Amino acid sequence: MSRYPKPMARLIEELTRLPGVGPKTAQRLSYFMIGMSEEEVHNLATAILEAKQRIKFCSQCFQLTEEDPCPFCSDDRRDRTIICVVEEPRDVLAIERTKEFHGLYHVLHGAISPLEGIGPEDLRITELMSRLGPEVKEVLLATDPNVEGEATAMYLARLIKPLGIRVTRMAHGMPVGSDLEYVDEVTLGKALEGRREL
Amino acid sequence: MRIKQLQLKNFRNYQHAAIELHPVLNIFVGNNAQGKTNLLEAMYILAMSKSYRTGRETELIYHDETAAHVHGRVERNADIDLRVIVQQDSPKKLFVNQKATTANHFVGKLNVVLFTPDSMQLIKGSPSERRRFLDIQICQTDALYRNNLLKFQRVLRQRNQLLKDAPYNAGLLNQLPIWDGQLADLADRVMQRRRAVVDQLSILAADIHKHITGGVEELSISYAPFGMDLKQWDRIGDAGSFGRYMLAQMKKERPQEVSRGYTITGPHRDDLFFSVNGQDAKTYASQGQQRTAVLSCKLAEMELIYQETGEYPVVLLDDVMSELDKSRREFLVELLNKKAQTVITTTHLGSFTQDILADAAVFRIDAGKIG
Repeated sequence: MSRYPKPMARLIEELTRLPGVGPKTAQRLSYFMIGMSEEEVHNLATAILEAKQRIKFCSQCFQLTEEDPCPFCSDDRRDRTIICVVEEPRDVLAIERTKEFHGLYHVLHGAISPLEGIGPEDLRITELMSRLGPEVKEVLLATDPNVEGEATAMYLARLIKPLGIRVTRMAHGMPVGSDLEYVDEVTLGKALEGRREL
Repeated sequence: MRIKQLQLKNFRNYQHAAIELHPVLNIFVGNNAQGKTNLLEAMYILAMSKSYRTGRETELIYHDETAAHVHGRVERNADIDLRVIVQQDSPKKLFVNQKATTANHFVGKLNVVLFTPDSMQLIKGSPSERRRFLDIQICQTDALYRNNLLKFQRVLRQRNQLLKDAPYNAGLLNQLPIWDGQLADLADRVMQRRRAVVDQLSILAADIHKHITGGVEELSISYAPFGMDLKQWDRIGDAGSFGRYMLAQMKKERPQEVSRGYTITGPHRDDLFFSVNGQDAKTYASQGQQRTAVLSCKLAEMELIYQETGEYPVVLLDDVMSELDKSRREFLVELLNKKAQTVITTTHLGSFTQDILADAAVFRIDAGKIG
């Protein structure tokens, strides 16, 4: 790195800390940024700073938001009887794109994983439990379908079911629009297991 | 199925190498430490996505280089192009027909059966050797099993971590139930499949063994799950039965589990039991008998892959001809000739008859060069 002028070396080093950016990409980005006009650079820098300063967690669902409560939690048209629980903020947007779900969300910010030292107390679970008032009829557990996601779903189900609230889990299945012969065995096996009566 | 071409770049002691393989028999001949086994290892990596010789994959990279490439062309119904790139600083890359893919989709495009002097560990070694043999065999042709096995191992590690931490934080024990259900369910799937495969394998191996020994010896292989005999298993029923048994065991063994810090019952402690003429092969069979039993087992593995996929795997024999007597050697080559593409390493060609060499390709290996 000593080959670069000091400010350039620092920029490369900062960029390398970003996920998915290695030394080569960082170097390319740095050269590009040096080549940008001062106004463009200023816009980029303020965009980053503003995003950081103005985005916070919603105090109810812990989704990223500019206003608290977030647009989902403050929208009166949304169904308040059902809460969809996800691991990460980006999962909310994935489900939202389906336009099939009209209830509220709750973001846990992770999944239980003893190997990484993450226990239930490290997730937004107490906050979820305090939201389960009498108007909530169903909690949809949409944690990831891997072993940590399943364990987290199991943990929540054991807490929530005794309250008399319906607890549901996302189904596994075939990708829509795919031909049977092109679906991999693992997905197909899961879909077979979760078959339903017609 | 067969391997048509193999190309290596900066792999082990090969900077560049490219060979066209013979459809029936390929013999790599050369002195020790010239790189014969490295070629078999490369072919194995094309089948399993990883080496059988090392867990540290950077060892595969030629001295001071940044990446090792293994590239093969496999003939099946359609030709398949397989490529593995092991890199010094970043994760390994796998390609099927030039498209990047995951191990789950890569493994099984090429099937191999590997027989090396270390294969004797199948009988002599610890139970983990036998589990490994079984898992490699099943994973090659059953992606669902591979997925379940990896998940099982992950849940097991999570649960064991809880058990290890529990003495310092008793509250953690409340979290065990959220892993128990998954563990029991996955254990059941893994074990049902293992048992079915061992039953198939045992029939095939007994038949082959009888043939090799001229009807004198009877080989039997049986599945030995931890803490339970198969009769007990059959009594409690079928699908899901082991899962229920395991849940009950975990409940019963909770105090020991906490004091030892690991899960006691489950397929991570499975074993296989080999017997020759009704006697435990590990304890009572002679060196020669054990070797023949392993050979039968490997050939049964080949037949099993044929039953599962409709095609014979490529058979890789690393320096084993010298260990077999003349009649077994001839039996082996004759059998393989008719069925599977075979790749053999040896230090001298003396163990092969002119007949055999007539329909074979011989490659001379000398210090990372193929002649």
